[in-house]
Amino acid sequence: MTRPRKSRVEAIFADYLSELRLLSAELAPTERAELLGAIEEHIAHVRSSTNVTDEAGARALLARLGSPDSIVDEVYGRKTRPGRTVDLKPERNALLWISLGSLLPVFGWLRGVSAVWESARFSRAEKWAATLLVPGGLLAALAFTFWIGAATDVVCSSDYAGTVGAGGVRTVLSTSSSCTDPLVSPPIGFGLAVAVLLVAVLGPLWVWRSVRSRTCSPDTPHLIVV
Amino acid sequence: MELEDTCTSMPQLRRGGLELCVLAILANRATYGFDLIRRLSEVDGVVATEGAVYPLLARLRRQGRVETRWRESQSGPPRRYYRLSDSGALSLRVLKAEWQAFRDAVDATLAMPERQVGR
Repeated sequence: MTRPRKSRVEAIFADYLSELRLLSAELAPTERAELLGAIEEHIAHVRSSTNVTDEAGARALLARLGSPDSIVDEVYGRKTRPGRTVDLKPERNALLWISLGSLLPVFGWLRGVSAVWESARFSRAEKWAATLLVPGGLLAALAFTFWIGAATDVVCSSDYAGTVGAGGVRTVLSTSSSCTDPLVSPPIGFGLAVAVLLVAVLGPLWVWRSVRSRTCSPDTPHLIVV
Repeated sequence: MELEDTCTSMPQLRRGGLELCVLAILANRATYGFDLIRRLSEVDGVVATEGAVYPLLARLRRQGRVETRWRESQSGPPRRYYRLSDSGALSLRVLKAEWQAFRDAVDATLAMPERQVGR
């Protein structure tokens, strides 16, 4: 029981430090190393002295420390860094590759997923969400929807044996027909198809909004380029 | 609109005050970052976020107003200790005088009757 909670706490600190590393990339190397070293040391010190073991404790520690962006802003001694822009194009493109990239079968989706995992702007949860939400993206969801639609119809086939006589008059000697039951009942199939489509569309949108709102929270005014 | 302006003014006021407080604490004795934050946190309202102190210390060091030295710690890795330089001590005296004059001026202004301030 303790192990997963501890790893989640580690992930919270790792995400925080990762964001700080990213945001401080524009600082001079020595300045950046000093800042990162000081913050890591501070976290280690508080953790060892107060025994932070749960998520609430980890988040409280980081809240007292301030957001990575506010810390980097302090380096400049003012609230907003001049001319600061955040380029979210790679993140936007990664999500587009995931949603629509399956037009290039397999390759497109793989490219999107690899771009998502390479980007440091996505949190771990967003990366997993982008990876697992309808693998294959919108095209896969559409294909699934059509398949479900077909599978909810009753499929019948018939065989006949007979002769075709003069004038095209067919004499049926025997007829056999068979019908296949649908995999799922039509209402359930329809609901499932709609749900998959919605997830395929709304999933990447949710991830996009999440990463965008974090980058552009009221505490961190930026000019965002998409 | 006015509330937003207030929200951006307070951090700036606090930033100026924080610098003065850090210099004042370091004038008494050399200390390391975490201990400095602990001492600052003993007074409510001085530190809004603890992380703001480290960039300030780095800036003061680059400006030559504080000096640093690594010391072994009994309970972990070596720590960077900060202490006031001669330039920092001079800076503290100047800032302290300016702060007191500024604080008195602001207090006097706030104490004025509303009619008098608006004139």
